[in-house]
Amino acid sequence: MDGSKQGSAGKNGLSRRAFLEGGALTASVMALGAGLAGMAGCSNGASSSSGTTKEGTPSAEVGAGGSATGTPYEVYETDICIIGGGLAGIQAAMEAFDQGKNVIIVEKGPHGFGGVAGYNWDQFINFTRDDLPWDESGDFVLNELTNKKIAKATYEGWNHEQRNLLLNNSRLDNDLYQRDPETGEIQPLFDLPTLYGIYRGFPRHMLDKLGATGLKILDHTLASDVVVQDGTCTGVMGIHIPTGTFRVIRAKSTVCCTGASCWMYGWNTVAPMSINSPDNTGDIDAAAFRHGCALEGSEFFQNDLINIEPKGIAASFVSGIGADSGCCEYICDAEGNYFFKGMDYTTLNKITFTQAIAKCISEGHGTENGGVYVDFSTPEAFASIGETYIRNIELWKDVFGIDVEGIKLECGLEAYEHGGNPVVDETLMVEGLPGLFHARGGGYCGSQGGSSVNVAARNGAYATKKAIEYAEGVSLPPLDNDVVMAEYGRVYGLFDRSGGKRPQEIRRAIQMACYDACQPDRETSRMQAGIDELARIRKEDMPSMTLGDDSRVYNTDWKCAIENYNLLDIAEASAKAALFREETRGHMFRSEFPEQDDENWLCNVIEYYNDGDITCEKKAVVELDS
Amino acid sequence: MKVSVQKYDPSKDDAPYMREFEVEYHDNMTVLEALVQINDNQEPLVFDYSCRGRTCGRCAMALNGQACLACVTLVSENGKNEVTPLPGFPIVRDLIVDKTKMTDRIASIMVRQRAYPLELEEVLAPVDAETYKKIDPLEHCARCGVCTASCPVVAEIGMKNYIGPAGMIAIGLRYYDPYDQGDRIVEAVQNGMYNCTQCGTCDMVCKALEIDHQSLYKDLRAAAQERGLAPKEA
Repeated sequence: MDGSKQGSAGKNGLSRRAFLEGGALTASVMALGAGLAGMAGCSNGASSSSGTTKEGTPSAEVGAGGSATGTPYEVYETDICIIGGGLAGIQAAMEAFDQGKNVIIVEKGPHGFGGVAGYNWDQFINFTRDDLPWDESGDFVLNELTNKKIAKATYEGWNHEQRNLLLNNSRLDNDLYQRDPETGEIQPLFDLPTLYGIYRGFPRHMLDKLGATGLKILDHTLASDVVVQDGTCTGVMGIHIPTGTFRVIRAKSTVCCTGASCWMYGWNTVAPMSINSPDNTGDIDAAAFRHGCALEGSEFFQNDLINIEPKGIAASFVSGIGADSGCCEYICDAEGNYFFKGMDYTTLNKITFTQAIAKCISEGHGTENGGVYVDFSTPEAFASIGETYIRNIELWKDVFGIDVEGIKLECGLEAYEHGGNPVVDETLMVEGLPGLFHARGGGYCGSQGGSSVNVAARNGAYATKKAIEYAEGVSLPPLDNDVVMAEYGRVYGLFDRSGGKRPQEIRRAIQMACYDACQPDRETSRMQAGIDELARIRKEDMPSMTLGDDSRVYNTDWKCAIENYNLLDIAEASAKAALFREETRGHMFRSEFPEQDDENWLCNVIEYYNDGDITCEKKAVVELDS
Repeated sequence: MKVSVQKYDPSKDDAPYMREFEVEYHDNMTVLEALVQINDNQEPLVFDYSCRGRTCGRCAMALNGQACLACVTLVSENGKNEVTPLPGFPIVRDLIVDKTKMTDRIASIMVRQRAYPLELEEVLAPVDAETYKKIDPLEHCARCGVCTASCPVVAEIGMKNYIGPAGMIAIGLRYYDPYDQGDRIVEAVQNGMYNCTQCGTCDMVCKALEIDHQSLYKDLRAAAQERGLAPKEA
């Protein structure tokens, strides 16, 4: 886009008449009038092309439905729609490209800069060096709650060479990976038969390569709902944020590759207690949930220990200083007790690491900000700082004048991943919504969940393979204008509110309530208070949520408001599931239920949405023979 | 603490204008923290960010006229804090600019040029240690545009005539890349390498602290010289 004037009705006169003929309008939207006239680029589908979208691929037919009806939205058609151009989305897109399919990628951020893949970060990649069977591999989390059918199918979906991300990502233009600076020899952190792992996998190279395929990328596009016709997913709808244009992407099958919804997990000053991106608001998970699909694993998050101060970079993976289980000897509580010392380190893994810290805080030994200290006062401790954080030491000196060497650093447990996802079958198709597939690095029912880069990659490719097989057996039904206009009415109706709280204020309330219920030191009364607050927000705040900005051009109040519905639904499902699970398991410690209770809780928890009412149920773990 | 911010909605406003806000200061407060506070508590302000740690580049803007990343730049409790969009790029809304004229070019340069796909043996083989030490820092370029927006040569002759420091990083990364088979020296010259005055501004403003732009420029010029590609007057 070039910053030129937006706002007049398009060539077709945005045709308020055509809009009203669209049907399925709520009264509140019909009252919108002025709002509609302000909508930019209300073309009948000729993509209101801007410099930020990739145009001109032969893969995408543009403008089918819209031109027939003169409706005020853009319509795109394709074989496969991929939502999210991240770690799963890249491999999803490359799979479809390799198979010569017509593809549209919908990305919320600027292409190349969206989500966590859009951080230009020193990514650790791992895979199995030897060609091992799925259940002997050390390259992903396989535990008592993992869906074994999915684990096996997705692992075997790629052959041994494809699973080798060193090769796979190098072919997607990744550079040298970590080397010995003196010899130039490749320098993995792990080189075991069951696990090979190495740093310096910068995902942006792969995003460049994806852009160079010529596949159509609709970036800056917030997917607000899936298109559901006759119980089948036939694409996705949403807003082009820079212009406010409504977009409909019709596809024979749709692959959701959005990241988890960690943006709901608390709030510091610019971010939650999570390394995730503001793009991670669970949009499609929530859409599927509202269409009647169950969620599972939502009670689980995965945590790491990272700095709380300076506040502006609290829980930022790429500028922060953190500690993992390799630093556990140097972790102490508020009174200076080094509580990991003397522990049987053979039992130490990410779960027991989080549980030990959560227990310490639960028993009243946490710091003022609810964390613990990592004591970097000795050279040994300082030398234990993980590879990812090393480059941040100089940044702290440069920007904040803080020398980490020699200080006790207050750290808290951030959520690097959420375990929740829609329930999927072993083809990664969302149960109850044929045509919608789902791929992510975390989730799929493990109590440790994820996230791992290699799982995101192979799940993206696998889900797309299955989505292509599905697409070959179906044809797109004619576009149901009522379905489109219902969603159009929902999102544009947000302009027709007054007297309520702004979306940012409601967002903070959702985040704080979610954190109360879902952070690792789980105490029933605090969790219940969080759940009650989420219910209050749903009842009192959401119906009158009022935008502070009536522009259609890059309206972040509007974007925040649309996302709030998603965050609230996922937060409430997660909070209720967290309370429902009355035991200690995974990355959390419940003081009233301090033990793992396999007799009652060796199961998954699933959540259902019924007109705003969210309920939890137990579900048996899927084993190979079940 | 006072913070003034430039606002502009091209669908409504004739021209950009400044608004002044009173912000509650705390130690080590970043520009981004001030903006979030204003947007949360006072009035809508349009800006973008993601990583909070100088890797995504989405919060590039300017403080007191100097291009910076809002996430790792501090405001001044008692001084002037004037926040404006990243200079040299078209404004989309308030502090959001369209950087695609830079980022699309960098992305296409960054695509590795090769006749045949890499094989695992090549990936596992040792590389020249000096080459590795030169590539490794360049990997951290966030393509935020702070260097390009600060570059006096870009400001004077435009990106068409000099791609700017971030573009040179991309060319340099693929020049050093032992797997790349493209002619990156021709590319460097085509993209205006000799228009760079090597003034060092890019090294001053870049928050990828490990990047040394000047030594990259020297290497590229030496290679161009050897190839006979230096301009006659240079």
